[in-house]
Amino acid sequence: MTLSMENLYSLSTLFGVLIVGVIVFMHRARLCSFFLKGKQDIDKLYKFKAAIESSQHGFVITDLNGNILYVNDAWERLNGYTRSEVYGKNIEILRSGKTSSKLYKTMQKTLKSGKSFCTEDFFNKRKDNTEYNARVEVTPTYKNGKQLHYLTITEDISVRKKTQEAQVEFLSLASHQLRTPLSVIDWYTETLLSSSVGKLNKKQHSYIQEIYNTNQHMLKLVDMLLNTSRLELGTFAVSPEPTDMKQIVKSILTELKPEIEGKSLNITEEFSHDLPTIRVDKNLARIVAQNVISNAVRYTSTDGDVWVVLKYISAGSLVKNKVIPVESILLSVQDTGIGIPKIESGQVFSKLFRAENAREHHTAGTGLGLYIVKSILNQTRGDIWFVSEEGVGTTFYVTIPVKGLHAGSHLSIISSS
Amino acid sequence: MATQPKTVLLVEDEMSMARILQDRLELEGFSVLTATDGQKGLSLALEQHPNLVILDILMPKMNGADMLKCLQEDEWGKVVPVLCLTNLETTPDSIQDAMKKYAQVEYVVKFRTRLDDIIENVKELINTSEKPT
Repeated sequence: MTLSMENLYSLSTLFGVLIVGVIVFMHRARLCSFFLKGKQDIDKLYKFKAAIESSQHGFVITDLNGNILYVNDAWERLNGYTRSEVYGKNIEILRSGKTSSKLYKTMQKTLKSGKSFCTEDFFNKRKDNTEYNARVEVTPTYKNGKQLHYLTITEDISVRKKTQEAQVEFLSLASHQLRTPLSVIDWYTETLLSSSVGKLNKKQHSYIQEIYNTNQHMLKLVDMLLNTSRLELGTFAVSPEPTDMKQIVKSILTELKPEIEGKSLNITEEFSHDLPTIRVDKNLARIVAQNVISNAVRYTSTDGDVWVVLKYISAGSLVKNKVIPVESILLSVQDTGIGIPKIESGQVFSKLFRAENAREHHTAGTGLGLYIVKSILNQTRGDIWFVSEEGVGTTFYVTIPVKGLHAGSHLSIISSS
Repeated sequence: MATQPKTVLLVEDEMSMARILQDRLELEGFSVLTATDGQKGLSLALEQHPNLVILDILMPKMNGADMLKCLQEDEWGKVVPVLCLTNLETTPDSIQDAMKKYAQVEYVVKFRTRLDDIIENVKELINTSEKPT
């Protein structure tokens, strides 16, 4: 049997591709000490090939100029080309013209520097000229320290993106449409209560006050529900700016003044002098502090005590048996309130959960506050935990990293267990 | 000598909101002009030169952000105090830019703000704008 040059060429290409596949998998699975040995290794090679061939994601291997050396079945299905049509062609055949040229430049720069590149903002064109929104992950592969090939994994995310866009649009519409009528009720009842359009009798005043309070509760509820959805959708826009936590805490205490004075609570504020300005999103920092402080005020009975403390914590410090990994600000809020029943303490951060005694004490809670706080802190490398004894009181500890998040990043939820 | 009442132009498409705002402003002694979209609001503003503009953001025909942009192309419009009102969660970029550029442009979220505070805000903005620089 003779081997034609063509066969030799395709055999060597196949072998090259297989080696690249193995290198990539070794690299990914950190199997650096893995060496090819005899038949066993060839079996492994075929295992890797079968894995790539049957993957549901499109795999393509190109040389450093983007010329296609290998594609798998999923890639063929995704783009409508067969292998024989694309081998030797440039990957640019997929360009639709809709992906920003800046993104291509960033990709090239990233790959040249030796890093992997990942984006959800590629718009590719199939053979039949239809387009799809692609998530691509490009990884350079190496031989003797020199870049050899690029491996690209492609996934069509058009449907997911469309669904997400629809949800986001609905959320923004719903928030506006729900809030407008509630704001109307708010302003009319506020005006009636202020007596600026005539004095109400005592009974009328108390009825209107009831409407006003309930409406305030509705406004808060809408706010909480929207925040929850945003966190879960990962569309909570975060814009970090230099923030003075002391100022935020003070303004929350001022807001809660009517409730604090109504129950004659003793509030002790303690702010250490070395508090740095932190780079966080003011809204998020406020949501976190507001929930923890207002819970202490809400679940503490008349004449009780609440301590609000802000402290600077250096990286590696120990706070209540917890190591704080990065330099942070610690907010601790201690109260002499109803406490959290031991049996329910594991569920405190679960969505819609309310402890038995909390429900008795305050019927109008939503069960969303601490869930939202926990979700935010999970995403910002912050932390929250508590120490509590039923009937004695609770202390919540919150750490917020001084460095916070980068501008333009988006939060998405890590479900709390 | 009796001082002339200050004029506030209220640009708001939501009738029930416009009504309570107008009533409260009038109770406080302001003279109130109203418009229900940005187009009417803009021409009324340029024609009447009120002391302050209260501007809703989401409106038909011309939204508040676009009206603000047009207003700032006018010599008088550049300095008139504007209080933007909205129930949108995020401040539109154009409004943020205007706030950075012009000290007399402010932004409040309706559902978080008491009507009393809005009236106070209006008074403050007018007072500040009248102080000689």
